Amino acid sequence: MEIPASQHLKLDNEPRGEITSISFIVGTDSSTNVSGALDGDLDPIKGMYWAWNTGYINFKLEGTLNKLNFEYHIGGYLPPYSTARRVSLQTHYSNGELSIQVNPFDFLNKLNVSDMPSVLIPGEKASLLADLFQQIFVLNE
Amino acid sequence: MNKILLSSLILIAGLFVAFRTNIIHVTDSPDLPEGWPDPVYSFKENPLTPAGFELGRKLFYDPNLSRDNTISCASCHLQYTGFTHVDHNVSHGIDGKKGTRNAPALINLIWNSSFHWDGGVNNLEVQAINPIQHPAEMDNTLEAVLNYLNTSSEYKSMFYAAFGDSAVSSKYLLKAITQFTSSLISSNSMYDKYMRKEIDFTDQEKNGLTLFRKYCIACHTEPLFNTNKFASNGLVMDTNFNDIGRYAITHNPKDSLKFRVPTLRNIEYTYPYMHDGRYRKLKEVLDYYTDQLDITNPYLSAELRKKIELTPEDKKDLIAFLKTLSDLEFLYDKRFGFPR
Repeated sequence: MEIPASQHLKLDNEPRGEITSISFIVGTDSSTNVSGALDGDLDPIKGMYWAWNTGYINFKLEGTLNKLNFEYHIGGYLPPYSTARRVSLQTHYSNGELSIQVNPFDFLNKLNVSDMPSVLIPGEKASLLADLFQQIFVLNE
Repeated sequence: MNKILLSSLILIAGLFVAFRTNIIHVTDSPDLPEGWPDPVYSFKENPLTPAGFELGRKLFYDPNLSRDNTISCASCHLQYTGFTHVDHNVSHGIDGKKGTRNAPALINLIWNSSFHWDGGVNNLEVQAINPIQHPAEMDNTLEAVLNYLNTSSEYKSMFYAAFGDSAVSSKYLLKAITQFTSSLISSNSMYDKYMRKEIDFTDQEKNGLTLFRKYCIACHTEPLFNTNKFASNGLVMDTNFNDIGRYAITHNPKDSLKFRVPTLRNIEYTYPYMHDGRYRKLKEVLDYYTDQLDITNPYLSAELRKKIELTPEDKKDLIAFLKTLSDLEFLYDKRFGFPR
């Protein structure tokens, strides 16, 4: 599913000078997960929410690989298996526009899909897969 | 009007006010019983208003929220029986499909820190997503519900009145339902009136209360008659349902076969009992605790690791006490009934 409008982010405060690194969190923080009915990108209707174990799915990847269906719904906010991760990327860019790419194969190639074709609940497996968030984002310079 | 009539009216009004000094009026929230713990739910982002409450009530009783327009919240949560599905061990929802757990009584929900027998829901606002989407309950989608609401001029104007926005979103849908369910407060049972010294108990009821405080209050704590704890009372798992309880949420072995402690308020009316509705009568529940409870069961909560000794007379007294938790004002309060 693509929401093209969500793929462009304009920051309110234009940084002055050279940007040497960019850092962001993939996923939601724990207080967001206990705050009840939210809207916008956090609207439960957007498919990134578990109602039976209330909280957000931080990362969703579904598809078929060599005829094997895979489904990764990575979520959960309770310690020790929180699945939010900070990603930091180094850059030398200074003209004000950055292009960040994410390659799903960078995720899939790092695990044995046939051994673990689906992770659909919070817990240890989800937390281990969340560590991969830090390896799938690349700055396109 | 003459002086006698005027002073009589003032006296009557004064008596009326004096009768209900046990209620604390809180802005943007339902009236709270005096001396009770603070609620867990915060109305800060969802201030209670008459318009919001009436909208929530209408939604609660509207079967058009289900896929085939037959199942409303009230289908399994009937007011006269404590907002639960009396006489059903597990409820039947859409197409007559059966679930796996007993419908909880919707009573005093704002004091809950979690919802569902396994505590999988952490905020009252988002609980309603579950029955709406569950294939054996209402089997619908949030999209379909919002589409229904957004094509109803009556609902759009009610949402506008409640939230200042006639574009119905899931946020407003859920907050509206919460304004209704959060208002279902039961605090005027015979027990409450006894505790406020407005009425007296019979000797039987007093003895029942003494027994209750000896054996039951560690989990069924006054004044809510439940806590937010998860506990196992040693029930053997029913292989029809294979329900592992809280473990399904936390995957912590210590949570195996543990369930949220339910309230005993209005217990006379909310049968059958336990997470799977296996006991139809209060006597059966007491017989379980005295005759079948295995205090060596490793899953059993610590609070129950002692022999419960009740004579047949004790059991009658205890049941007489439990019946004092019935709050007819709550069960018949027209404000909570089907909107007309």
